[in-house]
Amino acid sequence: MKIETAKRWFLWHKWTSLICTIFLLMLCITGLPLIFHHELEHVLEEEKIAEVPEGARKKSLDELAAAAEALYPGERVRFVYWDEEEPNKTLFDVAPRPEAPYDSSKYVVLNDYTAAVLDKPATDGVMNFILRLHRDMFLGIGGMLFLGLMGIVFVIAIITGVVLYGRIMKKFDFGMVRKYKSRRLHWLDTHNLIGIVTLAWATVVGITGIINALHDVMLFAWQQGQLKEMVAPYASKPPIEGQYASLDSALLVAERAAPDMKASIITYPGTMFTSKHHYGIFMKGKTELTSRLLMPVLVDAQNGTLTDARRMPWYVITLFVSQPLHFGDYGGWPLKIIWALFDLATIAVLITGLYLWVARRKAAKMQWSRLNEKIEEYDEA
Amino acid sequence: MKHNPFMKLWGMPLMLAVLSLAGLIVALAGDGIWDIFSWIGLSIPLYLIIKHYYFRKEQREEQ
Repeated sequence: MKIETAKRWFLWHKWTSLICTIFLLMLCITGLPLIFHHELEHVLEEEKIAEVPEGARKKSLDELAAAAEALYPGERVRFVYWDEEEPNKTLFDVAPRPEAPYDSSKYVVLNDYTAAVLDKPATDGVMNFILRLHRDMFLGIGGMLFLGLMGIVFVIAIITGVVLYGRIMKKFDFGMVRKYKSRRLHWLDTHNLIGIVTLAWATVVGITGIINALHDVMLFAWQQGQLKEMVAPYASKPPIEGQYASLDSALLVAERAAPDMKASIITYPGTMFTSKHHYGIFMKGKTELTSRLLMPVLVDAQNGTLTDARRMPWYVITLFVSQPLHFGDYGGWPLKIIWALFDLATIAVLITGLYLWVARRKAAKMQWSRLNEKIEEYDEA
Repeated sequence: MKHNPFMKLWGMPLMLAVLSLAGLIVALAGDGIWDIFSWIGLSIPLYLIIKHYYFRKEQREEQ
């Protein structure tokens, strides 16, 4: 490699790293507790198990939804969620209007057998604060896209870093750490060793992070594309008046339309995940991977009949697959620990990199002042 | 392999990248044995950091 070429790679590595380091540090630090958010939430809030009274029968969804709405007069359920790790519980999102902003949501967890309120999860807790910081720095879609851009810069920093690794390590064995030569060499070798070892993980988490940052863009594309196509016959229909069709019967219709799948989320008419005339029932598969690939089943909310059920388009599938690869929540607790260790290793790469930049600047400055001294001496002479 | 300069430089990084990617992907395939493969695949790179950083004799630098 010619010296000018090497210099160019070095400058790219330096500047891309400098631009993204501060944000990457924030993402790594906030990401650490998010890896364990499920466990931490159980610690931060006392866990309430849904007791099943003897001989009790499961309440219908319509009864549960009515119980949730009774807690907030004048407001309606707009989303229903189930979580596999929380058996016999259903989570309702109640809001004044289906299209109301998220901060007007009230969350209620009900016992499926007694309709007793088990929990009213708050959205202003510390975990939620960390999540917002990590996702969009409280800046909404702009912040999300900005962090996505930082992800792209990060990936360029990784690629240029690998090229520099090749140049520096050409004459040395893998894994060399010169601890006692000088502080700069010690940190440089540490930076190179950890950087090259965590290369694949950091690249995957970086790229899946970029894809996750496009979440809202993909939702918009899906609304304008597949969703619009599916509900095209309803485009000119007036909004539904009066009562919606039964949730239980809508769920049955969805389960028949998507056998071997189970419901994960029900979205009410008028919310952003469905039309003004349909329940959007999102079905998931039963394996580790297919449980991430939601499939929308649209059920007419007036007469309770099936309108359409389709597989999501490729870009939404890409998003669904990239979610676990970013969160590390798909291989039990050992994978979470591994995720945390890689996260810490990435922090080490960022900090050693920052140190190397500072040390280099200092060295350059010293060279400057030495040069100046010489000139002054020369002048005095 | 040690005589091939390309493999001397890139052999380990390539192997670790393949191992990590395999580890990341197999856990998606399913639970149980797949998860265990994944834990092993992803632990090796982490183990190598510790090994080389803490338990390696200083290499004589070729000038």
